[in-house]
Amino acid sequence: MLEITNVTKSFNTLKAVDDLSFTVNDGEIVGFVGPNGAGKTTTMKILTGILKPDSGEVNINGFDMAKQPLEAKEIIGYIADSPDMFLRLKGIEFLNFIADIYKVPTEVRRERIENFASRFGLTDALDLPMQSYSHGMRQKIMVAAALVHNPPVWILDEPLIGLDPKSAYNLKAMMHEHANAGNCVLFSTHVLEVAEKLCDKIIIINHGKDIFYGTMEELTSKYPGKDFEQIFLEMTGEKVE
Amino acid sequence: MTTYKALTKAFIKSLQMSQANDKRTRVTMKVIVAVVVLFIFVPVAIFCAATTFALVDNLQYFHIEDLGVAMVFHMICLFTLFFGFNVIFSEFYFSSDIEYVRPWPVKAWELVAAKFSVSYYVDNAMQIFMVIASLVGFFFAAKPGVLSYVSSAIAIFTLPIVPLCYCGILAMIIMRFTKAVKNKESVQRIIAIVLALLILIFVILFRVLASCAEDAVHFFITENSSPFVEYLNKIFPMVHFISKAIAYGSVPDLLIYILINVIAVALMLLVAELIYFKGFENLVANGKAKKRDFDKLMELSVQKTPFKAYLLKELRILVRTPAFFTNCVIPNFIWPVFVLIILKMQTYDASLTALRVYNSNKPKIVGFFLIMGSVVFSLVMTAINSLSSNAISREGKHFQFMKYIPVPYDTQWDIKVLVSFVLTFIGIWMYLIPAAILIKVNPLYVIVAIALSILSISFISYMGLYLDSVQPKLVWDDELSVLRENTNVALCMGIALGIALAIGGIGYAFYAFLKVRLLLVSLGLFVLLALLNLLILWRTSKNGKRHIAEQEEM
Ligand SMILES: Nc1ncnc2c1ncn2[C@@H]1O[C@H](COP(=O)(O)OP(=O)(O)OP(=O)(O)O)[C@@H](O)[C@H]1O
Ligand SMILES: [Mg+2]
Repeated sequence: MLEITNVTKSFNTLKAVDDLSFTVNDGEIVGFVGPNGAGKTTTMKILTGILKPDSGEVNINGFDMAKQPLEAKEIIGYIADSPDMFLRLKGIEFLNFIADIYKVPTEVRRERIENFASRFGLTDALDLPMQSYSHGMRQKIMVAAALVHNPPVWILDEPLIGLDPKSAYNLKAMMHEHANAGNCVLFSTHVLEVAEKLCDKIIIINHGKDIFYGTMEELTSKYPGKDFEQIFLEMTGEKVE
Repeated sequence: MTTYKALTKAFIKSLQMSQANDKRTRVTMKVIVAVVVLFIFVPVAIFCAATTFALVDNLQYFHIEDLGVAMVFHMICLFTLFFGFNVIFSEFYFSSDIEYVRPWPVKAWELVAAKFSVSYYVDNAMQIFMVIASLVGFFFAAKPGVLSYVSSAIAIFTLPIVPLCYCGILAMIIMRFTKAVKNKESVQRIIAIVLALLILIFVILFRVLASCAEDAVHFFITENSSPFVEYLNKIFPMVHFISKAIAYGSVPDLLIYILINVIAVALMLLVAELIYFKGFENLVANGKAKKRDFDKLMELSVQKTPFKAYLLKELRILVRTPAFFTNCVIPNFIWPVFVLIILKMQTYDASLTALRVYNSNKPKIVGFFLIMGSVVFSLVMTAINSLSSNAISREGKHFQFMKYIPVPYDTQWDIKVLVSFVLTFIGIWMYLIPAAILIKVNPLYVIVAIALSILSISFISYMGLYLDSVQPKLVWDDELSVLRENTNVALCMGIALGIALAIGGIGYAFYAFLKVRLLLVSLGLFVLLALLNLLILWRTSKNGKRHIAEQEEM
């Protein structure tokens, strides 16, 4: 379970996140949508402990990020918005490094790495430096690294960007499996169809404030006769021609 | 022409944007600029001015004072050629803005002209300074007319142009016709190799070169010319004309000089038009390495403690990033080369047998030099390799990684200090211990020296990291810039140098003038260094973790 309560975060004068509160319950996939600069990445960085909120609280499975950061961080799997990390390492070294950081035992990690490698078609790339990877390959290795310790709470910042159809399909399937096993997933995306099809609930934010939080049904019943795209544009203040 | 202007403006803007702007950095920047001016610019300037003055003053009797100016100008041109190469290469082919501009409908020559101007802008401060200094030297020695001043003013701003054009043309030819350069690192590798070769040749030929210089002076006076200048005139023909223009105020020479510059630039732009864009084709990401099969990889995937894994990651990145490897790791292990150079330049006998005899005659003096030397050297070396003083800056875009993994900041901190400590310590003592054994230094002195060295390295390692944690330079896309343009590195070096000088001076005073016993001096040093360590540990435990937690610029 992931809970964020009255969180505010400013950069200089700009309020990137403004008194935001929501909960992602176990067993749920929640889609996080909003225009560029709405504050999605900032919110996720606060959730993972990268940024300290000016006020408000973050709670991960009962651990307060401010008071028990290590316990909270241990149960999060986080995919950052840029996959260009540690390019000097080989794929396999990076995965092992992350597995070591999260104390994954030898046998368990071997099984998981093998699983990711076949699901994402990474087998041939693992022994190469990540510098030689394409953008999508880097993204795949980031996904594998974030999930190698099988964390109960997934926080994924635009995880599908750059993935080929098979890998995207597999990641979406994994998100489903994960939620069905009683864990929670929060992921941001700009692709509304994905959010619509995949998520149990949707959060729409704009200028750091949440303007909607609930299921797709609740959303469409508010705006009868309109599709998600039209609703989204209307809510975020864009004109629909 | 307007395209050229717009591009140049944009490139220079993007250079300035990447410079930090907060108050602390500005203040440190000022301090560093002052230090650089004081310790590098001023000596170099004095050297240039004095050399020109001496040459011109002497050569005036033979009415060949232009040769004096020419010699110094040639040196400056060689200097520009050597240091400009890296700048030109990275500006022409590896700056990040070039990626955006390349698909636009700009002509190759416009792009190159803009990039050339930026390189000139980046690279010229030192050269202009040197030219001005040598001209000052010249004007003190000679009493030239108005035209000389005009020519001088022109020389100040245009002398680096031809050497930089050479760099540009060379860079484009290398990129177009060879596969030597696949990425930025290969340029740095090539330059590092050339530099190493030059140093080696210099060391080997030191005596030979010295005698050559004597011959050259002789030739100078008897033949009214210098083979050195003659030879370089072929490489930098414009120097001949500008030095004549300055020395004798001759207008035709000045015009020819300007013409040569124009031709050089035109030639470079022509070459650009022909081959510049093609040169990008050889740029590729790292090549494919030999692959092991999957089962083998799985066998190697064995659990390690987070501490070990993190340490391994730090080391791997240091060793695999060429800029870090050459600047942070290598210096720890090649310093004996420089000691050798210095020894070779001395007149006294520094052979092993001589040192042994000296040691058996005056063991205490050797002990004193070993102990004080290793303290001073440990302090300075730890700062020079900047392993700790850019340890956080080095993370760059990865910095947020430090914050979301469940590894306590203390642990990450200690690992970074440990890396600095271990590499520096091994680098120093893997040579000093065998040397001490060979010279048969009293083991007691060696043990004392090692103990004091440990405290020195540990202190600077913690201090460097502490300095870097206050305001790390996290925004960079060129690994060299995180080393060269990082104020924390310079600050740490300044402080380490200051402490080393103070400790060395005080130690010497106590030992040599006040005749305090060596072991007592060592004990005093031990207490002092231990206190410094406690101080920095206290600061670190109080603020270090907080600095990382509160750092949000990323
Ligand atoms: N380190 C920072 N310093 C200053 N401002 C920042 C910083 N990080 C983010 N911002 C600002 O905060 C706001 C929210 O940014 P954020 O990255 O959270 O948006 P986002 O919703 O993830 O956008 P996108 O869809 O483009 O990824 C933006 O206006 C951004 O400019
Ligand atoms: Mg974002």
